[in-house]
Amino acid sequence: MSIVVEHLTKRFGTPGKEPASQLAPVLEDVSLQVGANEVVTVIGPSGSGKSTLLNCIAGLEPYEGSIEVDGTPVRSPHPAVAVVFQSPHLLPWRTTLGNVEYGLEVGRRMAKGERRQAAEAAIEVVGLTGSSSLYPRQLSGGMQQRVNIARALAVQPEVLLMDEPFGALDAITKERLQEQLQGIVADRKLSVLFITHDISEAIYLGDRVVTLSARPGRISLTKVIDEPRPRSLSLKQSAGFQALYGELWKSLA
Amino acid sequence: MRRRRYLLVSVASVAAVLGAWQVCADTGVVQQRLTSSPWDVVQSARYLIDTGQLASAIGASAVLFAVALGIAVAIGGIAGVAIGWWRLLGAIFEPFIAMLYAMPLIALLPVILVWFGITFQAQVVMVVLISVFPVLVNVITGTRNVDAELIRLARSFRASDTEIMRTVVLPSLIPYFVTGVRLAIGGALVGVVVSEYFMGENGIGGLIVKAGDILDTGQVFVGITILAVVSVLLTTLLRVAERRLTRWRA
Ligand SMILES: Nc1ncnc2c1ncn2[C@@H]1O[C@H](COP(=O)(O)OP(=O)(O)OP(=O)(O)O)[C@@H](O)[C@H]1O
Ligand SMILES: [Mg+2]
Repeated sequence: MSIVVEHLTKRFGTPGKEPASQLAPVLEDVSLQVGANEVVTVIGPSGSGKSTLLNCIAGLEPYEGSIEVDGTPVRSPHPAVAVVFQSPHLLPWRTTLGNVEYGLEVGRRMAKGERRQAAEAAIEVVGLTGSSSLYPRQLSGGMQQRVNIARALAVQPEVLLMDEPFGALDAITKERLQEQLQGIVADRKLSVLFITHDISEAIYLGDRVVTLSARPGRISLTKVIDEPRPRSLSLKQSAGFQALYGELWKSLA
Repeated sequence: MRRRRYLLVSVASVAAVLGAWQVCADTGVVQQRLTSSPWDVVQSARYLIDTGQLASAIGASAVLFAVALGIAVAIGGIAGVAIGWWRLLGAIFEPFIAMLYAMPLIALLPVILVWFGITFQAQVVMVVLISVFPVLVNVITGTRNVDAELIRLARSFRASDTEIMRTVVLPSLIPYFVTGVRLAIGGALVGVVVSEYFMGENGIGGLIVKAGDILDTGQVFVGITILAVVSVLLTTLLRVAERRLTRWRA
């Protein structure tokens, strides 16, 4: 499944005040594609509109321009798309298991037993099996974020939109999940739009890295990462990797 | 250990007050005809139980309390979600709600008497009026405070409006709802007694008024004691329920 974004412009209107068209855009003329089974990573300074881009593709924000998922224009959330939001947004009255089941319960309406199995599998992927029955307030920030990821994986999406999913994690957990994500992408033939502010993560995970410039957000650079998969973590030490890192760093600075 | 010692002190404190009351009444420091005494209250209670008056009074009050509180909670809950959710409904109803919630509603008693006469309906209306607003106002606030990000999350999973209501709005309302019900119970108890004083002289309130008319202070205190015990019981019950229902919070 693919994502095609063409000439996307996004302005936030203040309800009841001037019409949206007169406000400075947050995103301007952004065009971008994520092909089938491709991972596109997006980096950009804070406030450059990365989350906004993701919300538009997720069908959660109105926009100008065109966005298509699997060839159909996006007006509301697409059934094959799952979102990992920047903050965990867990339902505080549900346990880890209950939160991970959530996406299967609404919208998809899977039967209870099946739901539980799918949720437990996703919880295992993020390494939280022992914490299934804990409430969000009993989880650390990083654990909450992993529940957020498991909740998206549980619905078996074909397209994953991830907003700095590993930002709150320690280096080791982060690398473990980066490797796992690669495996899942290969296994399930996922298409992924992955937002991060970690340049080396962007290179390691991306088939392409896209950089957004600050206000208004425009695509300033697209870099193809021509490395075969699966990539090993030692890639991060290679000379080519370091050169790319330098180049991307400069484009952001 | 410590807690047990404090409990003992509390029990001793109550016993001391009752003892002092008894002694003052026995020795004539206070006029027993006006103040009654613990022993006198026990005697009166026994009399009221034997004649069946106590059971029927409690029954009447309980029915009024339950019916009216049930109506108030149902109206307050449903209308509260609707008014909190749809801004337009809020704009229409909120001036009245604000006014009625702020004013002492007992002032409406004569109007209700004129409209409904001395009837069970009049009593129910009075109690509902007093107890509906705490539920209503709390549920409105709760509905407005639902985390918009959680609704967006639900939408990202294609939850329908009814699913959003069931899985996001209603659960986040529970703490507000329970607080509203707790306040409503307090209000309903006041309402029951007042409406029994002025709208029929039945139930525990009626028992107190009639005993007062004939200066039977022993019976008056039986009624008062029952109200006190019931209030404490209901409040405790609700705190337990509150803790149960919002275990995910603390
Ligand atoms: N609902 C909104 N209403 C008005 N402006 C908004 C809204 N959401 C975001 N913005 C503005 O849009 C711009 C981009 O925000 P966005 O959250 O997309 O940035 P970001 O690139 O994800 O930043 P970060 O890396 O800090 O997460 C910001 O200037 C922000 O103030
Ligand atoms: Mg963001």
